[in-house]
Amino acid sequence: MAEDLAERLLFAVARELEGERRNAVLNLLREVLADLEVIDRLPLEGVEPQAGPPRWP
Amino acid sequence: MAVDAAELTVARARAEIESGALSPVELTDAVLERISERNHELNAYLYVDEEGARAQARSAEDAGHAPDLPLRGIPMCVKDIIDVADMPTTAGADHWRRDPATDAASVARLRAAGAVIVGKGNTNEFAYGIDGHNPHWGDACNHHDPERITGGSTSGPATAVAGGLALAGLGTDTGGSLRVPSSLCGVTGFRPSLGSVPLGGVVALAWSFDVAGPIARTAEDCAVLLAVLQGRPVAPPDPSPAGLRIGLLAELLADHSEPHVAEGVERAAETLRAQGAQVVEVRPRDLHLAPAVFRTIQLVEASRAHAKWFNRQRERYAPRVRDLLECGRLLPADAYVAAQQARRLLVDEIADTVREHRLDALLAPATPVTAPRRDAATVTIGDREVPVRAALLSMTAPVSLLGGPAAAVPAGTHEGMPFGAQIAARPGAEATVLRIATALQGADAG
Repeated sequence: MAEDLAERLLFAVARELEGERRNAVLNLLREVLADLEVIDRLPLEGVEPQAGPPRWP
Repeated sequence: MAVDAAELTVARARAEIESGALSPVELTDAVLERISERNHELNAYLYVDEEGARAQARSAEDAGHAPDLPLRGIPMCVKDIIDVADMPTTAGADHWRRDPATDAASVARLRAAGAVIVGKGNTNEFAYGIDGHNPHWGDACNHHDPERITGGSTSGPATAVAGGLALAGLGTDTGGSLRVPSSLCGVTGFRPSLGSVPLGGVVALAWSFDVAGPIARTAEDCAVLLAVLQGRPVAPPDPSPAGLRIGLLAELLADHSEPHVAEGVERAAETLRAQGAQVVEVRPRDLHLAPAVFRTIQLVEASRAHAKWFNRQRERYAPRVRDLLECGRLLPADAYVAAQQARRLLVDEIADTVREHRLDALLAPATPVTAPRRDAATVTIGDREVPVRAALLSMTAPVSLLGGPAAAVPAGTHEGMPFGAQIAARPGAEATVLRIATALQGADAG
């Protein structure tokens, strides 16, 4: 997910924003992409997404 | 009698009001006087309704002896993302406002219990921040040192309670917005179980995590406020932790907190052991991934909550909030769903740890540092420079994923600035959290 996503997101920011805002959002996006890489490495196959308040087993 | 609003707790004020030693009008006047003396320095309130507060106090006085009104005559500060009838809601923004005719459901419960709503407390814009900065109306400043941040986003109510500008506050918590300012201001904040306090009339930030809850000077006071907010009968918390098993989240201590904070939380653990609790170190797998999961979900949900307003006037948002919303609206559904899967995984792992060690609660720092200076961009933790926002969220955001109650209680001071310990438990276990918090504060008072 992350590589393709990074390309699309960075392109979208470059297209939609300019100047100071563009740099700030790009920096933030790089941090978020790092988060997504971390999430992507988790064993999420078959895990149901949390929807609503968690019910502890 | 001379009233010192900075010294009174809700419990003490209630007892004195019921005995006739203190009148609600005297108490409200004392709080209004503190506000006139200190609000220009602390910027705790964005709006004060003096006339309305006095009228509510007179009604509380007229009610006479009323043990069925557990908050009769108690002056409160309500965070300005929560509606109070006939007061503006600005959410800390300068481009967004509504003038509600009715109270938010949580405020209505407080008022029905006799509380006096004095005004609206400062907040990060739209509650989207953890430092208490507000570029539109000025930062709320820390009662213990106005050059330092309060933490946020419930910045105004926290410093108001710390400084005697209110006896209690109502705020919200998404990733730590009750617990972080409580820790940095030296008061007690309580995040209730997700969904247990109604959110009608509250400006949403991230539905997966948003809750409304109290800030007060003691856990005992929080217990009263929480019972009212949850629509339950008020019952004093059991003050003894004897027999409880508590897991100390070791990973959040050693390398992720300043030494004085880690020592303070370890002292809290010793205090609980001395009172008969068992405290064991635990290290749930993948806990360090929690901030990434939290942030991804919050970015997308906040962006959706703001979509209509943001499309109309994005240039009027505070720069940091605008950047976060821009970022959130770009993230695809796939990323959001993956983050919610990861959340499920982390909750299950922590629940497994709790079951395996037969734990009743978890203990950790509420913040890894004391309040940074208002102009600080980073803090030093060990040998690392960490952005202030990331540091402040690092202890509380993982707990927000879990859905259960959590409290921040004072755990010590360093160079005159307070810091707190955080107690968390499974959804619905409010009484356990209050029991531990009360035990820690009782020991501290003794």
